[in-house]
Parts: sequence; structure tokens; C-alpha cells
Amino acid sequence: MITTVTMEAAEFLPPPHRFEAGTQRVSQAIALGAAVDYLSELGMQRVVAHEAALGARLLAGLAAIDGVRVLGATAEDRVGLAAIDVPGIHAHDLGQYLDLQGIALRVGHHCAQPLHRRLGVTASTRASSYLYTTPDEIDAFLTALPAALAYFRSMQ
Amino acid sequence: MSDLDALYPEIIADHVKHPRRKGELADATVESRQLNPTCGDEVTLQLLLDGDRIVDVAWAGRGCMISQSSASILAEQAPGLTIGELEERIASFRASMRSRGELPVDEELLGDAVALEGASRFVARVKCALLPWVAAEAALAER
Repeated sequence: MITTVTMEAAEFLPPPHRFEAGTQRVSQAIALGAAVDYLSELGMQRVVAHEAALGARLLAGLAAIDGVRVLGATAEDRVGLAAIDVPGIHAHDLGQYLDLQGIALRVGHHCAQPLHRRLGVTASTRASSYLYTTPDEIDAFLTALPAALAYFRSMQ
Repeated sequence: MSDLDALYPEIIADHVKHPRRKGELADATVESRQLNPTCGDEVTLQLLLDGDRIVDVAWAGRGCMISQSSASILAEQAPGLTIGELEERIASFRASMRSRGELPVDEELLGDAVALEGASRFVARVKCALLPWVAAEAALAER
């Protein structure tokens, strides 16, 4: 924000205000508060436990499927999601198949190109869980994935 | 035909399994490398020109079945065409792919590219199918 502007010069308020032109993010701040209240009401420990259980179910199921490489650590220090690479089957093709089965995943480099390069892949397929995800949904993914692999392998 | 089979017909699988003219030209006249920033797919397309005619084509790249088969399909049909004829095909293919399935691919003009028609119904896959054709267009613009 400015104090005085002429054709020749501009003077600004001291920081942080000099970097905060225009309307502040009022609605976002209120929404963040509402989200925090919602989670606090549910109880963060319950949210964490729910995600940990889904994550463990997801990882155990993926470990049992041949040819699937889970990117990153396999056991501890994980949130309830898994990004996978299936050598020979591109993430966009895999994601397309699963999408048509009603299973929504994210495919691509997830805004982490250097990490994917380090892992030796250009793109990965990521299944993410949250507090509204159910164990049945994890199972639906784990059932559809081998069918997807079989579909694309039959073309190779 | 299911959406899935429409997206991955046998012709697509065949081009992925047996890519046509994949490699490198030692004496390319023009070339272009195109990237799909969302998935990291890439296609480099090279053209050898003799005046107004496309004498040879080669491509390299990696990515999904749609982008890789599309490169193979383009590379197979481009040699022997005039620059104007290739540009006509690029324009026709782009119009169909951006039509959300409304404008069928002209099989008489575009041959195997008709197999990519299913991708036009999936907005996220249109870019995959167009990637090599955009590379051809950019390579021609280099002249």
C-alpha cells in the first residue's frame, strides 16, 4: 500500500503493509477458521487415526499387486496416500482406465518434476485418502488396479 | 463399444507395439521438440524436406499410449506429402480433436489417425493426441 504517489515518485507504507495492496484475503481467512473448527470438532486424533488406517490398507494392498512400485517410504512416516509407478504402463493411461471405473486419482508429476526425475519416472499415479474416504473406496481401487494392469498388458 | 475400447482401439495398441519411423534423422531439415507440461510427455519430430515435399520423417519421445501412437501415425503418413498437404492434415486433425467428439476424424484424409478419435471426448487427452502434430507444425514453421 502506498502513502503518496506523484508522477515522479511513490512512497510506500512500511512492511508488511507495503506488500499488501488491495483487499485482504478476508473470505479465505474466515474459511480457514471454519475448516479448523470443523477438524477440531471431529478431533484431530480421530482424523489422524482414520488416515493412518486407510494408508496402511492402501499400502498393504498395493504390496500384494505384482509390478507395482510404490514411490517413497513404504511403512512409517507416510500420510494416507500412495503414488505408484507401473513400469511399461503410463500414468495417464492407467488413470484413464480407473477414471472410467469411477475411481478418481491424480496422474502426472504432481508439481514435483525434480523428485520424479530422481525416482526415474516422468509421471506417477497417486491415490489419496482423507477423512471422507472409506475403506470400501480403498478396496475398490485395489480391485480395479490389477484389472487395469491386465487390460494394458494384454495390448503389449 | 465402451469408452475404454473407444480410447484404446487395436490400431493404437499396434502403433505402440510397433512404432513407425521412431528414431533419428542424420540430415533433418527442421525439427521440433514438444512437451506436455502436465505429464512430462515429450515428442521430438524431425522432417527432411526437398523443396516443397516431405522426404523423410523420424520421431523420438516418451509418454502415454495416445501421444506415442499419434506420433507413429503421423510419421507413417507424412513422407511423400507436400508441406501444404501435411498442413491440411494437421488442421483437420486438430479441428476434430478439439470438437469434443462432434467432428469425426476424416479417415480418407487422415488414415489411422481415425483411431485417435476416442481421445477427443476426453479433454485431458486431446493434448496427448495433438502433441506430435503440434511438433510437426512447429518444425514447419522453422523454415
